[in-house]
Amino acid sequence: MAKLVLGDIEFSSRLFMGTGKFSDPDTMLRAVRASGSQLVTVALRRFNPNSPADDLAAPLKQLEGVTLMPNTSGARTAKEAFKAALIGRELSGSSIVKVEIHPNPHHLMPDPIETYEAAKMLVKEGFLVMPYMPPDPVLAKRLEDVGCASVMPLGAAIGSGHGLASENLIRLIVRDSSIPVVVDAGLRTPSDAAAALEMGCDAVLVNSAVAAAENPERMAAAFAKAVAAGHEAYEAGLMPKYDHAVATSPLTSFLDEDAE
Amino acid sequence: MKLIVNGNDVEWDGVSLARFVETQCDDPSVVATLVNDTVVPRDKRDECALKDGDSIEMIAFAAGG
Repeated sequence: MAKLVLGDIEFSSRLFMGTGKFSDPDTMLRAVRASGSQLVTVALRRFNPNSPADDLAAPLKQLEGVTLMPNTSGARTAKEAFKAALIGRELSGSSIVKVEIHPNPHHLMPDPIETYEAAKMLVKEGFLVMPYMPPDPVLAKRLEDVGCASVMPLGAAIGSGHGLASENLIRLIVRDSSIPVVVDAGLRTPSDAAAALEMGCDAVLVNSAVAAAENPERMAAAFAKAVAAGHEAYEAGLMPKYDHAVATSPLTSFLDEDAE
Repeated sequence: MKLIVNGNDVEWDGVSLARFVETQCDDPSVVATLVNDTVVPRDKRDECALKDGDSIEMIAFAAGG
């Protein structure tokens, strides 16, 4: 199976994981390990010396073979996202960043204009830019043109579990994109993830679907299998679709012939 | 001198940013530091001399997707 390459980083797993919403760090660690993911997102917040138990750095250090991808969540403008990316790079030691600019907490839709501006600034600064974006084929091409490492269109609203609601638009992005396409947000079932890979997406980023499952560790394992199956199917080449039946058995009337 | 640390007033009588961060967390490598809105990398904290009124941000990883 072909490996996925983002900048100078190679991934054998096409399942990226978020670390949010887990009941505790240990559950998160077990789920990430079960997912086989090699790219894991983290957010940023002010350090609180009075509650060191909130510290995620210690559990994250236990993950081997995983690249951490800080996001810019909380930023409302390109300028704020740029600053968050600099902070994230200082913490992670890696230049890969998920640009995430969503000013409205109700729908959390990414701001296309600020995302585009942030992408331009961060590419110039040497970042591997992974923009969370609306499923817009025109914007995807513009983000590719300014040098993003991938585009990450949403399948549906963050945490909504509506799956690949934007499937037709994502197909258009995949068709025209020369950089990896990662479906980020909205997925609920492993079959959503398989469908994304089958249509030619290069990876999926999943968080709520695993963290909010009754058994996150097993759900992470299920997503890993679905993602691998979906990509294998894409590489194997799906059969065409027809609007009529195409027989799989001979249609000769041999029973009647025997009776004669 | 008075510092503003993550938005709160803090009295402190030291000099270097590195020393201040050590007073705040057991493992200084888990925070990124900004002084007056500029990131000060870990290996520059020693030579970063704080002044009265400086605003310091200490940022850590948090769970997120």
